[in-house]
Parts: sequence; C-alpha cells; structure tokens
Amino acid sequence: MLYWFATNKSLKVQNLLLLVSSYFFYGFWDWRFLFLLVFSTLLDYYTGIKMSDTTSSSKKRFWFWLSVSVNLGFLAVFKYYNFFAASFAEAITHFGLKVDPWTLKIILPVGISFYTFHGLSYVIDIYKGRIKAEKNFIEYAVFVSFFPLLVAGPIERATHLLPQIKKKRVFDYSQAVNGLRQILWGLFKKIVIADQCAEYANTIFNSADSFSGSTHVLGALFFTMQIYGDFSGYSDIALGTARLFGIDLLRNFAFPYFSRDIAEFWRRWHISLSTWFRDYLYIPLGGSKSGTWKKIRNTFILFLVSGFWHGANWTFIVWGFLNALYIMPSIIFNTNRNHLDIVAKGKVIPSAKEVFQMSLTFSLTVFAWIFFRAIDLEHAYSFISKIASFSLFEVPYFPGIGTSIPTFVFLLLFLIIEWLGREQQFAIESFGVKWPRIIRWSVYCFFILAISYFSYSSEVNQQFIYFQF
Amino acid sequence: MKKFILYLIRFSLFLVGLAFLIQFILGLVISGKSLNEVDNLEQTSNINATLVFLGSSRCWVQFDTSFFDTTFNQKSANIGVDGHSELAMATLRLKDYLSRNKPPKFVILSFDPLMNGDSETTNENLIHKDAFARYSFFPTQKNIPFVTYFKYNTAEKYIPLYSIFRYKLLDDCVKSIGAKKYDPSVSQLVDRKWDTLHNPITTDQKKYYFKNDKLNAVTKALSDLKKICVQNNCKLMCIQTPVYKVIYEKTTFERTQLICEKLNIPFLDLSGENFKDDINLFYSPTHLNKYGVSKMNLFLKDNVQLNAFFKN
Repeated sequence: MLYWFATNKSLKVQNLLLLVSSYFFYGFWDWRFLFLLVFSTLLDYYTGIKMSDTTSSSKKRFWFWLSVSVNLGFLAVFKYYNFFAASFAEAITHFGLKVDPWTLKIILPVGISFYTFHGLSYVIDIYKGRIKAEKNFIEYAVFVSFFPLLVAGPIERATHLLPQIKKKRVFDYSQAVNGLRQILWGLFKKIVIADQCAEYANTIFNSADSFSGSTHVLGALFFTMQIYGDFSGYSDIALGTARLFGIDLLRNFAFPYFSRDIAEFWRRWHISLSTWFRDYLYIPLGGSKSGTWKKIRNTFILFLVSGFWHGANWTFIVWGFLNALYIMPSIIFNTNRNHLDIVAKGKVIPSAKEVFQMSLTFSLTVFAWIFFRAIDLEHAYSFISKIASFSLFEVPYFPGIGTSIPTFVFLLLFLIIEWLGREQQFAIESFGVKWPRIIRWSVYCFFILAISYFSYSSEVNQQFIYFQF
Repeated sequence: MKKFILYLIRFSLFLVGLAFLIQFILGLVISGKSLNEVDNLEQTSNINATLVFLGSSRCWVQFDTSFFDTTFNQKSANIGVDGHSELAMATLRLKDYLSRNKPPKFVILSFDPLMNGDSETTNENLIHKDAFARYSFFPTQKNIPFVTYFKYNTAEKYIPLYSIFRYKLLDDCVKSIGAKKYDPSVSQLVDRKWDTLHNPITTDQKKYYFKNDKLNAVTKALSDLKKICVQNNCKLMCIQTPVYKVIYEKTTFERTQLICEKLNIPFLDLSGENFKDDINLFYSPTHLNKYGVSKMNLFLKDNVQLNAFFKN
C-alpha cells in the first residue's frame, strides 16, 4: 500500500522505502549482521566508483582485488574458517601430531553467500568494463539487499536488476496477479511438499542404521523432493513477491527433475548460481573453448567450487565431484546442449526414451543428494551401504509410515501439476486461467487450505534449507 | 491497482466464506461423535442418569457403569476426564452435565490425594486440549467454560478451521464419517496386566499427591462441588480407590477422609484394603485393570455404606 500509493510519485522515496524495509527484514533476524551487510554494500559501491573513475589499470586492479579479497575474506571467516581449521587438525593427526583447532564460535550470517555474490558480480562486471559503476548509493544498496532475494537468492546481476531499480515502476495488474499465484505455489511447495517430506527424510536419515535399504531409498527420495520443494518454493515466493513490487527477478528453477541429462538438470536447477559460476568462473578459466582436457579440468573446478559454496563440509565437495562426473560424458562428447527445450514440448505423454532418460537422470540426482543431506562422509557411506544390501528388497518401513499417505497423495498431485505446467515459468502460471472464476478460485482456496492445514498442524518449524548457505 | 484490490477483497471474502462453510460442515459431521473414543459434551447430553461419576482417569477406567446399572439399579454415566485430576474440571463437567440433563440423584466423586483443587479459569493442565478444540470456534454459552479452561486463543475462537487444523482434528473428522455413536453404558475398563518392563514399578506418582499447603484449596474446591450437588438435590459421595502398595502412604490417604469428614460428605476408602498388595489387579500404580475392577465391584456390591447411600 505504502509502496504503490504513498511513495509512487517519487522513485527516490520508493527505493528508499525498499531499502529501509529490506534492512528491517534482514535486521529482524539478527541486527548485528546488518552492519556486515551495510559494510559489504559500502565497500562494493565505493570500489566500483573508484574503478570506474580511474584510468590507471593498476589502480583499477587494486580496487578490484580489494573488493574481491574483502568479500571473499568475510566468506572465508564466517563460512569456511572452522572447516579449514578442523580439516587441518585432522590432517595433521596422520603425521602423529595432535592440535586442538581454535574454532570460531560464531553463527553464519544469513544470506552471506548470496549478497557476497551479488557484490562480486557487480565489481567483476565493472572491472571487465561490462557496466558502469552506480553512483546512486540507495539504488545500489537496493540492488544488493532487495529483501525477497537477500537471504536465499536468486543471485541477481547488476545488468538485470539495476536498470529495473532505476526505472519508474508502474503497477501491472497481470504481473501482480501472477506474483500472487507464484507466491501461492511457492508456499505450497515449501509447506505441503518440502516440510512434510522433511519430516520423513529426517526420521530416516537421523536413524539410518535401524532401517532397511528400501527405506533408505525412500528417505533419499523424500529428501530429493524436500530440497526441491524447499528451495524452488523459496525462489517462487521471492519472485512472486518481487513481482508485486513491479520487479522481475531472474528465474531460478525450471522443472529440473524433468531433465533428460545432467547438463540439462544444471541448466534448470539453481539457474542463477549455475550461470554465475559459468560467467565468472568457468568462462574466465577458458570455458569449453580450450581443448577437451581443459574443459574437463574447468568442469571439475566449477562443480567442486559449487559444492564448496554450499557449505564447509566434505559431503558438499563429494556432491559437487559426483555431479562433475555425471556431466563428463556430455562434456567429452559435446552433447551437453542436446536438450535445450523442455521435455515432450507440446505433448502430455513423453516418449519411452524420454521417460528412460528422465528416470536415469533423476536416479543419479537422488544418489548425489544423499551426500548433500548426510552429516558427514561416514554417514553417507553407511547410508549407501545399506541401500547396496539385500534389505533393499524388503518392504520399506519407518515409524509413522502410515501418516505419510497424505504426503504421497499431495506429492502425486504436485508432480502432475508440475508436469502439466512445465512449459510455463512456474507450474500454476496459467493453471485454470480459462476456467470459470469460481472454479479457479476454489482451486486456489484448496491450495490455501492445504497450506494452512500443514502449517498449523506441523509441530516442527522447518527453516528454508538454503538460509544456511 | 483498484481492480487488483477489488478482486483481492472479493477473493478473501470467498475464501473466508468457504472456510466458514467447511467449518460448519465438519462441525455437523462430528457433532455427537467421539473422535478419540472418549465421551464428549454432546454425547453426555439427554442421558438423564440417576448416578454420575466424576473424577480423573481413575474414575474413567475404574467405575464400571454397567455394574452399577445392574447391581444398584442406577442408570449411571461416567464423566471422569482422563488426565485431569483437578476438582475444577470435575466441577466443570458436573455443571455442564446439569445444563444438558436432569439432575442425577447421586454423584460419586473419585477422590484421593492425586486430586487437586486448581481453578476453572487459571488452570495450567491442558491435557486433551485437542479433544475439546471442537468447541473452541465461536463457542456457545454452554461451552465457554471449557474454552476458558483450556485457554483457546482468539485465532482458535474466531478463525474458521484454525483449531481443527491446529489440533489435527481433520483426519479424525474424515474417519468419523459413519462411525458408531458413543454408548455411555460401555465402560472403559482396561483389560491388560501391568507391563512392568515398559512401565516399571516406581514411586514417582507420590510427587503428585497434594501437600499440606494445598489442603485448604482442595477443601474449598470440594466444598464448591458439594454446593452444586446440594443445589440440585444430588447426594454426593467420595470414593477413594486403591493404589499399588509402593505408592500407598497411610497418613496421606487419610487426609482425604479428614476433608470429607469436615465437609460432611460420605467417604468410602478402598485404598487401605488388601487390593493394594496384589499387582495382578493393576495395569499401572494408580489404575486397576479389568480384573481389579471386578474385584473392587465384588467388594462394593456388599458394602454396607454404599448400599445405604443408594437406599436413603
């Protein structure tokens, strides 16, 4: 109301309102980390201007590296210091030495990986001469801290978001309605799908030794749906909310579980991060234009760094490594751009070949998620060992399996809607738009009531997984 | 923008209307049905029993209505509330019963040191709040005391479906379609022996006995209950049922008798009898099993004091 009615006359005031609300939103979590966010914003803003103003390449390089090293320094301290200290201490024990690592007892600032990458993309683009530095601090600060994307992305680019912030925004009815629809679908994914799957995935992963191999497969499947519902749900909420403010954010998910190979999967999963790594890491390393061996090397670097970005744990690195392995055949045989369109475009039923390709890709993904979910490598190993045992052929069982029936029903409904809506930006974008309003509204009410039911009756409050990254 | 707000308001009204409608339908579906195999306020209306039992689970699982029906020729109803040892709850249930039925001739209260006074408005024991959640939405005058007792919040009282969702009644509502109607004459006796492996013999229950400092509060609560009985021409009697010997304390169990004597309420004490020595009669330290109840019934059948209570 304030945004569209009270501040719509002046873009400056409107942007100021966005900034204040974004800082309030972030400070609500932990006001102390607000200083870190403001400092990081000021640093990139200042170094950006300095880089733009100077004609000396050495000075430009200085400001560039200052920004990059401070940004990455924050990440290193807050996110990776304990990991390196503990890994070093563990490594040194192999030489018969024992040290007690001095670890930092600090919590990870929410969204640090996301806003750091916003800032980095901005300074890299200025350094490379792709964009000019933003002189208006408010506009730049809104770009970094716009609240829907602040804590878990999508990771925006200055070339995409800044022009929208600088331009006067006009209320668009269809955009706002679409935004609400996307928020609704995001909430459904998060509360009805992800949180329910999380409950069962946690039960199985947390006492893995007590269950059969078949139950472990079920646990991995639950986690697979959990992480998709959780993260893509958040992205939908973020994109939908931004639309209500007249801003289009980068698309982050495009039905990844309907991919026919791993390369396609990575074009559809966490798109804003994948493209960030492609543009700021893979291509600068030589990309795919410098011979097969370098391509292989660059791909491994890309996925290992991507794994490490997710968290300071060897499980994420193995997860990244596995994905690099998966994608290797298409890199070597140059088939990584075979499936650019969505599967079975214009059709309802896919071909047998497409079903096989999707099933294979999905299975590989599920296997890799085991490492992502496991507490450590030992946990992942014991989990997989159980799957590889004869108990794989037992009937799956875990306490509360009977209560999971509604979850399965909703999962099936969810997958059907996702499949039918896979050619849209999000599954219910044009869902029922041609139906009589009362039926369409009844369907929306059904979603809202399902969300309310699972939200009110849930005993555990599941945080968004990607908030920890 | 105006069009957007207009449609948003219309949709919100549509949603609220739909929620009210579903709440109303669910209310109709579960009306008069038990969702957790325990009686409810609607089911104990128009029973018009001549004998009513009050108390906690020790009342609920130990007083066999069919025994009293046949032996003493009393149409009896057991409205003990599992998990609630507060006399305030017993009083609340009695008041509610009286508002929905003719006053009974006799009221028997299961009274022992595990009972406490507590309050109808500031109670802290919220066990079975879910079972009473069906009464929280726009509560009727009759149900308001229970809504207050269980401290339902504003959202639970005025947002349709909120309490049904929050207290997970939806599954029960669906399951209750076509369910058998609650039969107040069917007793809740527990037909199992004490599994001391999973429920070891301990003296833990002793910590719940009311202490001397609560004596006045308990006396006051029992006195209030007696007043209601007197106002409605109901004869009140307190029965102290047995507990297993490890938690039996003679002096503590005599306190209840003293209170009853002070208030001039007939009191029948079974705790000191030899029931307490036989573990086969119990399924927990404080609850008799079906076998134990049958033994207790044999005792009650020939008990002079009880027979006199019903005859006078």
